[in-house]
Amino acid sequence: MEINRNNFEHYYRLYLDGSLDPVVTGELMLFFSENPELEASLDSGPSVLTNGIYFSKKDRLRKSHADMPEINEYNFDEFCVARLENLLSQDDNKRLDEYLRSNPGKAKDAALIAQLTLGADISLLYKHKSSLKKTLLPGRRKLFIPVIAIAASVVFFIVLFVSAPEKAVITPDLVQTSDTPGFIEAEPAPAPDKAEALPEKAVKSDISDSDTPVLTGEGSKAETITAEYVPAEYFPAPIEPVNISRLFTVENPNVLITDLQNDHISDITDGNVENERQGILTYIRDFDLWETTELAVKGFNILTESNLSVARTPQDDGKTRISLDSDGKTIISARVKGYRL
Amino acid sequence: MTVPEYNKSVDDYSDGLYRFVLKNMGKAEQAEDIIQDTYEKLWMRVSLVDYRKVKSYLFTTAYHTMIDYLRKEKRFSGISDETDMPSDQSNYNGLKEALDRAISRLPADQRSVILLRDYEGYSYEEISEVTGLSESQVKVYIFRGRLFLKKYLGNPEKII
Repeated sequence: MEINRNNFEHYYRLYLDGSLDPVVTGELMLFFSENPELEASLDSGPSVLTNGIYFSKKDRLRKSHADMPEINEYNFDEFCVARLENLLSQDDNKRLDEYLRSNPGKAKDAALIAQLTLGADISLLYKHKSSLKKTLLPGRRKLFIPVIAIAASVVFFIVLFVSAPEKAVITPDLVQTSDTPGFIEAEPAPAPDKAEALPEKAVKSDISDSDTPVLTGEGSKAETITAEYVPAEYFPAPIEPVNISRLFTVENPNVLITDLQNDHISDITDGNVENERQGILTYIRDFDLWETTELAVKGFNILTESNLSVARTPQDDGKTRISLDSDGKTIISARVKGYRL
Repeated sequence: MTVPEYNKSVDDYSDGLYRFVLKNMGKAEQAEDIIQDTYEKLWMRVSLVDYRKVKSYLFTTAYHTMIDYLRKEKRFSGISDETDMPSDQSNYNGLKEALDRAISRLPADQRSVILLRDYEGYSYEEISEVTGLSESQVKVYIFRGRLFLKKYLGNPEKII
């Protein structure tokens, strides 16, 4: 509200109470300076605000539009910069134009100043953006790492557990004779020489049907089978450690396409093996392996900025195809039967 | 600010920030170090910085990091802010080259505010927030900077 003759006392009282806004206090001072007779009319005499002291020659300081400084050769550049900065009023713009008309020699200077803005060089790009990017919030990273590590370990185990090369050679070391019912009881393979001749990284194309030994066995599922890769843990020790390089080959990733002999797993988990082994496998069976697998892959993606995914697709023959894909392209796949995945 | 927002700020602002710092510092390696430092500082406070203000945060941090860097460098190398004016014989292949050379001769404060104004289109108020200068100081620096550029370039005829 504007301070006037009718309300100035109210504002003065507020000032004395110490509750007047500083800006309004300034307006009140201004009001008193312009109306000293009203200030003198206060009950207390001249206010403590001004103490009756005023600058009496304000008129000398006041300017009108006509008093605006002329544009001349000394301030011409400043006017041009002010125009570049959009700080000139409409009137000043007109005055500058008039000056330029009357001083055509200054046109080049004005044009130069008008171009004194710097254009960003868009060819200059920061090349190391990827090194700046982050994947996890700093505080959460510590929480995630153990979870991811555990989950990744489980996934690794699953891959080892359910995947096997379609056709691999079982060396005599792997084929053990067991009295335990349900286990494959096999005669030693007759031609280990060929197996030994295989390269360290065996790929599907390296193995022909004729290389595959035929095993015979007895037990609940004892029958003649084509011996595909049988994970080492199905056999009592001593066993040869799983050769990881045989499972993951760069040359032929499809080596892991396999038809796992799930009947054999059933044999094992149905109680036809020694208690310890059965206990372990039952424990594994109680995991929700698929959920764990998905979690691990998500964690792996976050940590490595990968785009992996896992998928399971029912097949017409009753089996399930599980696959690990990257950007929609299958890296590893396996067909399993009767497995809880 | 979330992690995706942080990464978006890398995509959206690192180029502009790099240009701003590079034009101020003149050396690509130093500019890259400052960008790295700036984003590292942002990452340390990522939960506290509002994404809507991240650009201002980045430029403010980069500006102050750069000023600290320049002060240290000046202290050790004795580099002066004093600028030399070109000889009358100087000629430039176009206004851009002339401006590039002229801007490098500006005092650091004036150079920074002009770059923020021209490269990023910041208002006086925004520049004031970034640099910690008052708005009137910003305005004065911009005026002085532009007048210096004009004086440095001298005769328009020299620009081929």
